[in-house]
Amino acid sequence: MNSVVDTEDWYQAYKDRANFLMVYIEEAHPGNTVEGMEVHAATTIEEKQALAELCTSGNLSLPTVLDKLDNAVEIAYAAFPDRIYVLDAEGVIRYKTAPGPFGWDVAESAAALERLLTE
Amino acid sequence: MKLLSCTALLPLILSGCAAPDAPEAAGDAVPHVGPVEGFQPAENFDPDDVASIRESRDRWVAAFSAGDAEALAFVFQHEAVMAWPEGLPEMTGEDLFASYSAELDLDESSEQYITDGGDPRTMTRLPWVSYYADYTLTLTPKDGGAPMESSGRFMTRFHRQPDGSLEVIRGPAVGDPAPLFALNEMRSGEETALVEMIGEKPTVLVFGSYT
Repeated sequence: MNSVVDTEDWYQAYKDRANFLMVYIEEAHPGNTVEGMEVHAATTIEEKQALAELCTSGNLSLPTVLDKLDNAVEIAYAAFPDRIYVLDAEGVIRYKTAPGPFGWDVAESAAALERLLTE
Repeated sequence: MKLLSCTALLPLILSGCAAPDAPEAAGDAVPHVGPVEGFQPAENFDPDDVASIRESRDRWVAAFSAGDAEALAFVFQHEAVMAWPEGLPEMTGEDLFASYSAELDLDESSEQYITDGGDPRTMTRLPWVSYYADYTLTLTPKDGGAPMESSGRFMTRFHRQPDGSLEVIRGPAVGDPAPLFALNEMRSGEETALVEMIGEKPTVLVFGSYT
């Protein structure tokens, strides 16, 4: 399973029937080396932008916004290190995964969206 | 290094506990912050009853996941023994509680033993702490009977409060309105407001990072 591919496939299959928004939050493992590059925690919004572009450069085409440096949205959603929420058309939360990496589940999230669309 | 990554096996041997009333244990789906009245094992706990032990185990995991120190203290002060892997000494009662508390309240640049990376690393006191663990619980009936084991993973994130204490960060529950926000699009910088997406179609929010 590849979470990027799964997410992109899900987005492509459902983007006409649901809004998708990726929120780039903060690096879960600053100091890690990915593809030969050491990734550091962003200290400026420009650094955050660069990391978000890296994050989505692997064929992830979801509309993406940047959380602020204070990570306020991430904290409001308890979204660290990654997490998926599915909202109904009224903006009510109808499904959420547990926090990643253990809770990350595109398949379950997609099933929740499908249930919502067929209600 | 911003992540306290503590991957450990936590075999817990919970022997007979007194069992008065049983309040709800805090879990991820329960919009509860802060300590409950004290962890209780299953109502009418019976150390010889499999279902009773299993329920106590689930409550312990829920309390641990919620960072509910007071609830855990109840367990630790009531005959529980935690057996660590790799030959580490068993801990009981208040020593165990103190150890747990210490992990969640790091002193500045304190040394912490982290099994995830193999070597001890220097940690810095941070505005938040993430704690995750693989656990294996083994519960053994006090008066004999086959031990029961369960394994799983959980993650809890704590946010330091102005008084220095740590509080569990909880997201909104299913059924709650999604917290509204307006953030800038990655490339264009154009503001995107969640409220403008609401009204016609469902919305999927995907939170993540590069690492």
